[in-house]
Amino acid sequence: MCRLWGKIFKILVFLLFGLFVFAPAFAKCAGECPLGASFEGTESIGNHKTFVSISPAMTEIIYALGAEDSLLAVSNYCTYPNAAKEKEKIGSNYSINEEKVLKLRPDYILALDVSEALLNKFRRLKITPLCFKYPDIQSIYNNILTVGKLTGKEKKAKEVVDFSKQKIDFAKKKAQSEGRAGKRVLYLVQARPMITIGKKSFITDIIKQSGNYSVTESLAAYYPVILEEYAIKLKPDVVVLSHFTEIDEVKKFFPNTKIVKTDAEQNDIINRPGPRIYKGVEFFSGL
Amino acid sequence: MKKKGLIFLILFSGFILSLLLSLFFGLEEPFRGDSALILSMIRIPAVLKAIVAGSCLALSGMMLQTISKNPLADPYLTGLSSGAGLGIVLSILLFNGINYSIFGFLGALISACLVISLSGFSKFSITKLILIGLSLNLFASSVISFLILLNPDKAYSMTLILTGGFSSADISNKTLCLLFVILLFICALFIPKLNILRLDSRLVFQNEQGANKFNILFVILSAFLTSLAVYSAGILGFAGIICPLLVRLLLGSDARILFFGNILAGSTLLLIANFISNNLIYPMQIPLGVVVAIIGAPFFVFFLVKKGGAILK
Amino acid sequence: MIKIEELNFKYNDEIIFENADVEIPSGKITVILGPNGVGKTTLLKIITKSLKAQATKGFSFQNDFKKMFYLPQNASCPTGVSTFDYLSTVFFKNGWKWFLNESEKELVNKALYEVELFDKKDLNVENLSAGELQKANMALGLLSGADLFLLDEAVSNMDLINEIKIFNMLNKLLYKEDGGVTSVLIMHDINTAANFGEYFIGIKKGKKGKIVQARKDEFFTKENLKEIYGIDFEITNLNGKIYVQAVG
Repeated sequence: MCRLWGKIFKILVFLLFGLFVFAPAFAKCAGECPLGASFEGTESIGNHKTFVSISPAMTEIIYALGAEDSLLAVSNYCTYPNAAKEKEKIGSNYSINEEKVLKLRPDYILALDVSEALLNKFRRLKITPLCFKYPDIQSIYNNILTVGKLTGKEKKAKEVVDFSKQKIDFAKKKAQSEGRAGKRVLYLVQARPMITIGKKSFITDIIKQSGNYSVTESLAAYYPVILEEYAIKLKPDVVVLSHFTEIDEVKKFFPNTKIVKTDAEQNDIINRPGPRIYKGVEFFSGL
Repeated sequence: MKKKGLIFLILFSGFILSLLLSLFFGLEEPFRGDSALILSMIRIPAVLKAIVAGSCLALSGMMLQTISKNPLADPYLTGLSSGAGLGIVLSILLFNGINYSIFGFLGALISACLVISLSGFSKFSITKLILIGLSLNLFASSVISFLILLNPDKAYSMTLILTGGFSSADISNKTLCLLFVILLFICALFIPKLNILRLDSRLVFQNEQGANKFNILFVILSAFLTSLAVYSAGILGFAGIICPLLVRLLLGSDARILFFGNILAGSTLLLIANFISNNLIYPMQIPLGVVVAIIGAPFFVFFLVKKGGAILK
Repeated sequence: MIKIEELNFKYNDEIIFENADVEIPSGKITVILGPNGVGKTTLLKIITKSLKAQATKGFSFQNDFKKMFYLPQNASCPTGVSTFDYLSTVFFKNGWKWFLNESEKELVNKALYEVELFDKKDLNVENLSAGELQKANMALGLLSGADLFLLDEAVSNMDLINEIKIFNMLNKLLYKEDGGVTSVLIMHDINTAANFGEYFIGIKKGKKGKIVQARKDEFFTKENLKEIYGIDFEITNLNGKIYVQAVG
């Protein structure tokens, strides 16, 4: 009898443990942050609100809209435009100086796709964090328009978006007329191990808008780690490397393929979902 | 004796099977076009690295477990893992991760030297070594966490690289094989002496208190083995603990037999883990270290519960 | 023979031996007696030089034995190794060999025969009984070429029959043809000690550094035992056999 109960107990514990192990698979939606787009319907909030940006791209948007006066502080990684480097610094995602934030007392924190835990940190300080998402170029436009509403610069925001749209359209058409479009692009964030971009990354959309095609666009992750042999089998026309990857590390896998290495500035442009996004499209369409 | 022969046969066929699987699975025409490129550029180096890393980890685990008479001893005992990790993280931060495995290798060697020299040559004691190694591990891993937190933009790639994998090392097959064969040869010279160290250390043979000499020798040898493993596959936890224990459960504790058993078992484990990490969610890759622990742990616990008496005694 | 003169030893500030003289004769079974904590094991460790005695002026250590072998009470043993392989370990110490040659195998077999374990040579060591394991360990000592065994309570915790067997074996080893093996034992059972021992070293309780040593017939007196253990004993001598009984 005792043995039986012991066995049942063991099985129960096993099941419980299994639940623990597989729970993350079921609970993947739990940590999603609220969309910035929820402000779309709201009235113009006016230009007397103040902000702290913890994302380089959001800082760029603020500057592009000419609303930098309302920006009290930025993160350590906000390096563009140059004027942003002069702003007060409050650390980065993993090491926010909460005391500084509290002293500055901004109305909003502008964040880009950060964890719920970090957002809660600001909520405890009684400061509203706004978390923006950027799955594709259209959502980046929406972000720009939303920031325009928040800062009272709606007109400027619309101009920025329209300008970007025109530029992208032009680049795409030019590439098509010159017969450069339709290339199979492999974008590598890192060579060892090979990290690339998947379906969820906005860079996939950038490549698509440029008239080319990202060979890894079907992979269901932001930054999937892929097998080198899979990369070879994909037979890309162009391999694009981030600025900190050496061409030699990849050359041996693609002996007859064009390999392009981005420089630090291009890398920032491609990886920041901000107002310079059209330059990223121009880069890919010019391949 | 018959039983041991059978176990060797099973181990060997498992090794060959996993070798063939890792080399040729999913290739239509193995020696032409892209497939040939894949085979020569990716699969053969990976298989070599798996064999080297697996055997080195298992052998070094066996040595340390025997001399410390403690089944918990693992190759990273001497503070190697965190030393290697620190080297890797620094190379990513300072040199954008170019050739980071050489930094891992150096970090591992330096930390091992530090721990071994701190634990003293004349008054060497394995307990002291373990404790100093533990302290260094804690120290270095805290520094690693701190460095990762300071550089969130590289946190993803750092965490990924620290879990280990075969794509890392940019070492030519020849050099790797040469180093491996040299180390194996040195091991083979000293392996029979490991049998002395399984005796109770209190059995003093006068004028021959040289057991300590062998202790230090094996610690140094295992540090070299582990560093080579780190060079070829990054920091892979677990393989260095379970392989020696499993082989000891199956083959007894004659170091001469265990030597071959560990080489076979270690390579097989990593080959299988490599195969799974490459093919389970193809075309994406699961970090190798994760796979080793996920397949290794349940397998090992099963054996431990079923027939673990021998090593727990 | 071992002869130590003016032995001084202390742990930190606690004096264990003070100007003690110790003698261990060759060709006899020597027994060390005394209560717990008086320094019996310390004495053995000083003899094996695991512990260093104070270097005073009069200190001298004279040793005629070629090699010593120290065996503790509960020696650990490896698992999954046959007794034969366990013993052959000794030969790996020097040189670079992987396998024993025929003459070395012969030596192992001989040692097994001498400790009466020849029929168990293919059995795994972890399956030997406590007594057999200690015998196997003594065979290790024989193979290492020791002619002095230091057995630290190595036969305690053993049943009567095994104890007697081991003593018979030790007696036989004294007269081995290629050089006898002298044994020194630390024991608690005074009667067994009196039965098998020939030479006795008693370390006194309370009076640090005092050692009584003598041949069997001179050692077993009421006065000596009272001095060593601090209680009274009754000693019966029946045709040379000595029986000791504690009183009160």
